[in-house]
Amino acid sequence: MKKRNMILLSAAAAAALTGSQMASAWFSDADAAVNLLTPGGVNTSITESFEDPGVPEPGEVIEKTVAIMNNGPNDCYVRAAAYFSESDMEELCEVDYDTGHWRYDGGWWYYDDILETGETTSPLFTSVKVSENAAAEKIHAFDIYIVQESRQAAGSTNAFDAWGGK
Amino acid sequence: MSANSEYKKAGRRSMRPVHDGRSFAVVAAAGIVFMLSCMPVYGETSVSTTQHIETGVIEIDLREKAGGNTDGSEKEMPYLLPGETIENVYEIVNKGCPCYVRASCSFTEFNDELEIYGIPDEWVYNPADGYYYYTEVLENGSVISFFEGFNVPVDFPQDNENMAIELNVFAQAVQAENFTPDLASDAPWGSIVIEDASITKEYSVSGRILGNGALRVTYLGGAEQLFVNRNDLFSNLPFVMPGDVFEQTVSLKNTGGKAVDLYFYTACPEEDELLEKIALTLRADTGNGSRLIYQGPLTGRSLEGRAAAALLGTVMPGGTGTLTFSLDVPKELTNAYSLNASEVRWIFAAETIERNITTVYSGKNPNTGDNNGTGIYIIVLAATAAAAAGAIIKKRRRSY
Repeated sequence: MKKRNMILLSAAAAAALTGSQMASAWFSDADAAVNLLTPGGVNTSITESFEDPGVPEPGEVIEKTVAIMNNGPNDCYVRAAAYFSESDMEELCEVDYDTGHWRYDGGWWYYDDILETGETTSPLFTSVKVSENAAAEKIHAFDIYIVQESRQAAGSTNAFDAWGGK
Repeated sequence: MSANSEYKKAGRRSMRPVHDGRSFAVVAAAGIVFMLSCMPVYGETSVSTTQHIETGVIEIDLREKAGGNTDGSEKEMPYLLPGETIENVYEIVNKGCPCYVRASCSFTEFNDELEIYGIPDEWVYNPADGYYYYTEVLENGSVISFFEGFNVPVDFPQDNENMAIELNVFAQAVQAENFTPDLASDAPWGSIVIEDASITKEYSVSGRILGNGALRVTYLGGAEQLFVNRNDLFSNLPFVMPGDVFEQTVSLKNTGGKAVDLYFYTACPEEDELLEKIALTLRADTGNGSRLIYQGPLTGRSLEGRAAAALLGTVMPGGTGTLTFSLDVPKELTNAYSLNASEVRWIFAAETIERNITTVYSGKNPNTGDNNGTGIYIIVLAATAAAAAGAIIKKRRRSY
């Protein structure tokens, strides 16, 4: 009987201990902070002013202003290239690239400065002149394709660096 | 009529020869007066102490210093760009009592790709519950850094430009007093429920000046007064926290030439939930071993008022004793009891025990626990009865 009482007592003590552990409250506090993050991005577009001259004459200067605008939320570096649809016309034309702000390397013109969001580069070129010495019969209609790329400015020291160049 | 004058009258009457039928009454009266002259008589003095009790509080502040602004002000977060390191310092400030802290951090999108950096070595990550545990106690006023920012992987996709990602940081704190995290466990804090402290009132846990030394209750015989050496019994009582156990021994001393009975009683506040939760145990030892005097809520309602006073014991002339107070603050107390302040008044009373003086104390005779005089009273009573019986027998014989 005594043994039974001891067992009951031990069980009660264990239950009380478990109960007290479960019921532990302690003084406490909690705090939270929520920070809203937005993934960034680079979004640029070509701006140009150009009137189709039809088939140009020898020595004619075709007004065509090409620049790049940053429409995205982040600053970026820009590079661009101009390709003639007709290679023979490329040899007869001279493009007045702005070498003061753009530097050529490996087929691309790299814009020297960081293009801040909402800003537009200085024009890559403003005109295309047909050689005065070109024979009129060799001149025909052509297109100039403009390609541009942009990369986030963050993490790079200049435009070449942005593309892993020198 | 005072007891003293009655004694004198009785004295005169006792000088007369006893020859008539009033002998029994006269002798009996003389015996009773003699008994009264031998009974202890009492003079009482008391002194009170007020014990102040104030609970502590746990309060932390999770502070963000986004983009390197160190003044804690809001600053717009930069866009997440591939390969970027976003400085976004989170700090935890302890405004309350010493505590342990744990924290977590998660992103609602790209949680596996975005990686926090700059976590101090004192933090240990527990993958079982996703919390970082700060391994040291955070003292009042301390500031610790949780992390310094996060990295955006170089292959972070760009086609999420309009996506909103939430960085959720949580910090929790639990009192360091009486609580020890088991960092080897999957649940270092066990199953405790963390509550928001929601503190709205001003407080300071750093400016409390605590006294030193034990309380002494001394009966000064010359002045016939009780004295205590300070007000609060637990002079070194800090802000009490759940699970606290305090013990304080009060020294009792009688410097007089008469024995004193020491009593203890309380003056309770009206309603006080905190005091009802805290357990008080009183044990006294005046030379006959430690005795349990009281065990119950700190309010001590069963000892309220002089009539309910507990006798601590009799301290003999030049003698000493001890009274041990134990406070037990239950660990089940929740934040509802934090920053609670209360007080309880404790009164010590001393009654001097004088013998062979005919001044009769007219109040309630306390239970002194001193039965040494009982035998004398019985002997005197027996002698008185025998004298009265002898006188009566003598008279009856003479009448034959």
